[in-house]
Amino acid sequence: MRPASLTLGRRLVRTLLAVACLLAPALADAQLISPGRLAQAHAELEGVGNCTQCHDLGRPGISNTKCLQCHTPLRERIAERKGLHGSLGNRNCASCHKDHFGPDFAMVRFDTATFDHGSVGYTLRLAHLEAGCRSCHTPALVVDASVRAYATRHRSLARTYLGLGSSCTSCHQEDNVHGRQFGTRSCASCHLEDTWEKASRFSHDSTRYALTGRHREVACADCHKSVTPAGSTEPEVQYAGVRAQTCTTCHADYHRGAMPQRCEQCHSTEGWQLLRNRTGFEATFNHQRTAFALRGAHETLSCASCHNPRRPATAAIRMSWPRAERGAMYPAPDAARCTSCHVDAHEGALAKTAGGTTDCTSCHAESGWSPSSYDVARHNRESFELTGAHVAVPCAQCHQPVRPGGPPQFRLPGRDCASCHQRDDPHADQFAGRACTDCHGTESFTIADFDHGRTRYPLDGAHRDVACSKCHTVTQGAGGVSYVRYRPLDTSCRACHGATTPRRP
Amino acid sequence: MTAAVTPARSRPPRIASRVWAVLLLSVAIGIAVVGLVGGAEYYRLPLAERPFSALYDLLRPAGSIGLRYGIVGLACITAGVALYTARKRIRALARAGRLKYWLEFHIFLCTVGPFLITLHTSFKVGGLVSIAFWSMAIVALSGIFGRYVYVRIPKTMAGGFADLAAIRRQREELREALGADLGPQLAEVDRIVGVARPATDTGLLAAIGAAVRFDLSRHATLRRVRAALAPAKLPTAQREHALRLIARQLQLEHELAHLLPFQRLFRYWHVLHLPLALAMFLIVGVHVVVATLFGFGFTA
Repeated sequence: MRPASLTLGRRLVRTLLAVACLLAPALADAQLISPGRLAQAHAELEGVGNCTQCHDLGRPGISNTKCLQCHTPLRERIAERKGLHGSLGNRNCASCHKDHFGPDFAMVRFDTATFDHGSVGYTLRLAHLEAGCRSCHTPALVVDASVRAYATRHRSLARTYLGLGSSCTSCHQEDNVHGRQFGTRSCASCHLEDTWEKASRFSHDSTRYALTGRHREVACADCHKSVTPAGSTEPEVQYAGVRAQTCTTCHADYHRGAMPQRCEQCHSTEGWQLLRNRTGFEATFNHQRTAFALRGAHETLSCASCHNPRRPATAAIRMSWPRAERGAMYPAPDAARCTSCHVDAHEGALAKTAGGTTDCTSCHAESGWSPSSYDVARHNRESFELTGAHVAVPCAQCHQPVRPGGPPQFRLPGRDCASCHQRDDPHADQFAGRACTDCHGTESFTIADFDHGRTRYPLDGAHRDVACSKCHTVTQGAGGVSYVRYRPLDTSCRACHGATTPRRP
Repeated sequence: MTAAVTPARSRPPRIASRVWAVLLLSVAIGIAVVGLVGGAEYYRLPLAERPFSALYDLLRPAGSIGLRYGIVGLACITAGVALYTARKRIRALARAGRLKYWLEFHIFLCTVGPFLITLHTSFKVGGLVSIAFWSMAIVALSGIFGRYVYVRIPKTMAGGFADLAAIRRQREELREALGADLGPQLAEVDRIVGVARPATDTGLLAAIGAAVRFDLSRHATLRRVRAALAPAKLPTAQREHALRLIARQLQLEHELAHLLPFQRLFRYWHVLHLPLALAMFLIVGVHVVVATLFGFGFTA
């Protein structure tokens, strides 16, 4: 017979077990046959009666069909073969998304660092790669209506990765600084994902105004100014609709309207000073329209002969350049007078005033320095009348250089015969104080018909037939210089005829 | 002829018995090592990280290996319980080997089984089946305690519990054999091991305490006896035979002194052990039915 304590003990234990079994569902947190509590997103599916909402009896695991009965946005995407889930084929949902691991379990989990975003149909590049996932996948940027409705209903808007648009403006509408300038054109036609500030894909060649030459070096902001469009209060940089009909739309006319042709007929964008067909331009340019008409020798010169500040000065040419001409393609030298460019060969000797400038044009023309317009007539009229043999004398014979290699001396110190002919005087100062022209003419020093009557001894009679040399003999003078003695002569008969000659009455 | 009473821990082990025990122990340890070492990487993961482990599909409760752990574990427990119960209760099996070996096999299966079940749970327990799991755990742990108590109750050669008279008779036989071996040395041995105490019905906790103290001091006592016998310079065979008898006597005296509380303890243990096992089977049955309904059979 069993002890009463043993019987009591057994009853007690059995009672306790029975109570434990009745309380088991409560003690087990109503999980009963569930292997664990569901994640927060599935919390409304807790309970024994809801197992078949996800599971099929007789088949282990999860039924994709049952998952997609609720997850309608994904069902649509899978049907359309869009996005990540659309590319997974028949993979079971549970292969990636587990449950029954408690309310805090993350059913959606993937390595964001290695996730291939291209698999969802939108490859991340450049700046998009640097942003974290939640920088873009925020509730504010969910544009798909069905995803937004579903996520709102299930309070998963902050967690979902679905529903973003793939166009730039679906996320960057606030960053659109172009207003309505570009209409419906895609941002990606100009911009890459590196930065908004730089339109990496933009090529000005695709516009109606291709940038060539130095236009490529110009900052965008130099041409594209900020404007406030009509109907807007916000200024925006104008890119579309910028008109540049002529060069002068942007560039000041250096020629001040003096050129009839359009700028681009001569100039290119490579630089104002790089003319199109420079040779032809220079060959046809009508210099007469400028302030310095080319004449004479000036006409045959090349443009660079004068319009070249880098031309080295020579003995004949020395130019000066006004400051205003710096940078000009054809800088005009100072050409106020001939000596602005041409070195005065006369070294100022012909200036009207001492220290003044020479008026070259008084003698010279642009046809050439030689021959000068200062001819014999002018010489006779303005200076020293050239007559007789003087006419045949070369200029240089009278006008000797002031120094070896120097310019000829045109303004001679004296105009009397002795100024030039001192060396030619054979009379040994017999006629000092008397002008050579008393006896001589400019035709020749030789006196063909000397009127002896002008002397103190007029010749008459047989004396007229006597050769000059009979009376006027060669005499030795000081220094051994021989000369023909003309005066004074002893005019007595006896001086020539000897002592026997009767005296004149 | 009275049924020979042998203290549970004094019979010289036979070779076959030792081989049997070593075999069972080796298999159990082997299963434990393979299961734990192979799955340590997975089992150490936090719960939320396990779905993303490469071993998830193998070792989760419904995994290709995890599910088989549960099926085989339950089979082991079921077989362990059924076979031992059958051996004990079916008269036709009364002569089908010593109960001791059936018990050891029961212990083996009901240790390996719960271990495999624990691996099946992947150390995550919840839901209604958690009651079955904890029932299983309590049953298994109580089984260890029960065996501790069981081995301290003298049994007959057939494996049944011996009564008090039979135990006393055996003690007298041991005393005679010792007297023949030791002669005058017996008095010295008696001084060391102490006098026989009568069987008293002490409290359960006191009896367990006494058992623990006896286990801890047993070897020291035998060493003192060995040292005391040394001066006698007995032949080795005789000395060793005497020491075995003394050890058997020590055990028997202790068991006799605490027979009543241990017998009562063992009856109480049954009250807990069996109902919990039944509750476990009941709930596990529900769990198996539900799992099968959801497609998790052996071939899943």
